[in-house]
Amino acid sequence: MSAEHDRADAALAAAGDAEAFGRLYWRHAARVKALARRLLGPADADDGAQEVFVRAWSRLGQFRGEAAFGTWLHRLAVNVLVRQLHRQRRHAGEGDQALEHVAGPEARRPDADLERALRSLPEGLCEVVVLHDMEGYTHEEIAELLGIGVSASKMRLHRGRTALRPLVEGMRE
Amino acid sequence: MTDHPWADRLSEYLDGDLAVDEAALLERHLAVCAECRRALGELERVRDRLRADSIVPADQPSQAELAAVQGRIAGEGVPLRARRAARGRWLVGGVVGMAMAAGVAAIVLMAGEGNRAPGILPPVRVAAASSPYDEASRELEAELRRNRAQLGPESAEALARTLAGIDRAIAEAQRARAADPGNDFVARHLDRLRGERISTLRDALAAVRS
Repeated sequence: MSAEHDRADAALAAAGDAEAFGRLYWRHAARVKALARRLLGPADADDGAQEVFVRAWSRLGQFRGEAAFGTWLHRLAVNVLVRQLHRQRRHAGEGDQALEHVAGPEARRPDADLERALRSLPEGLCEVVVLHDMEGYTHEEIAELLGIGVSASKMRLHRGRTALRPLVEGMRE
Repeated sequence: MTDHPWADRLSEYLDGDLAVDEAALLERHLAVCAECRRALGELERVRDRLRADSIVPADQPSQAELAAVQGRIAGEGVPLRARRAARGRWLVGGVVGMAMAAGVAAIVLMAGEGNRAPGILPPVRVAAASSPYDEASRELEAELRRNRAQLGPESAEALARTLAGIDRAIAEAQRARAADPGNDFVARHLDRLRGERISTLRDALAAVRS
């Protein structure tokens, strides 16, 4: 089904078929955009997602079809976006400065408080929280993706969740 | 923290990552520590909130965004060889395309005209299925059918009109492509229209789910 389409389109796109690449884009961009939004925030999400697909295009030759294309792309997206997150942090400093210039409809989204809180997390915590609790990665996978230990992943997740507790304060058990 | 020796392990406990003996010790502590019980409850609600947000429908991609990606690829010197490779696509992708095309000459949103009831989505015909776009369209339409009760009659009619317009444009683009298979512009135009159809269906689905 979709995995077969992906495999066929990835092979064609690797050979330079822009149409096939377009089809891969339509099938997978929503998930990449969601990840970009969670990691980078609304202001930088589109640029981040764009970067992922540009990298994907140049690396399609490395996709051998052992894993599903979506899995391959998502791991690539994590690598690209986490690097971008670190750059963003270096440029903007920590805290929620990155969101300060976001206003209007973006700031009124129902999940805007969560997005803001995620980006206010200290360095190294946001990606672990997003990957584990929102993207469903295991600590072992996160450790491999981020080049950290499994224990460090568990510790960062706990610190991240703890820092997010104000989000749920006042909610009934 | 000496009063709360398990405070740093609460998330592991929550996720079932603690060894059985460690979990038993932690539970013994929880039984006598209201502060850790409250912390555990809040951590669980944080996790639930994160999980709930992860299933919120994502922003759908747009043709403009794809064009921006393709523009960057072209700008950075990675060649786009749409037409020559596209001929190969019909060979390699033929397995996929032909399988979908079989028996899918016309897709209707309702099971049949005779089943139509007032106020539900009228049938919309699309062009002959010949690509993964059509597969995606078909899956979205099936999903929309399952949720059609949430779509009011006026919205259903507006959606049907929109889709019919897109389908006419797709049919014209397909004719143009058949007449001039090497025309890159027509090929891209056809892709844009198919993407537009998918976006329209996704928007409608997001609306009925919200």
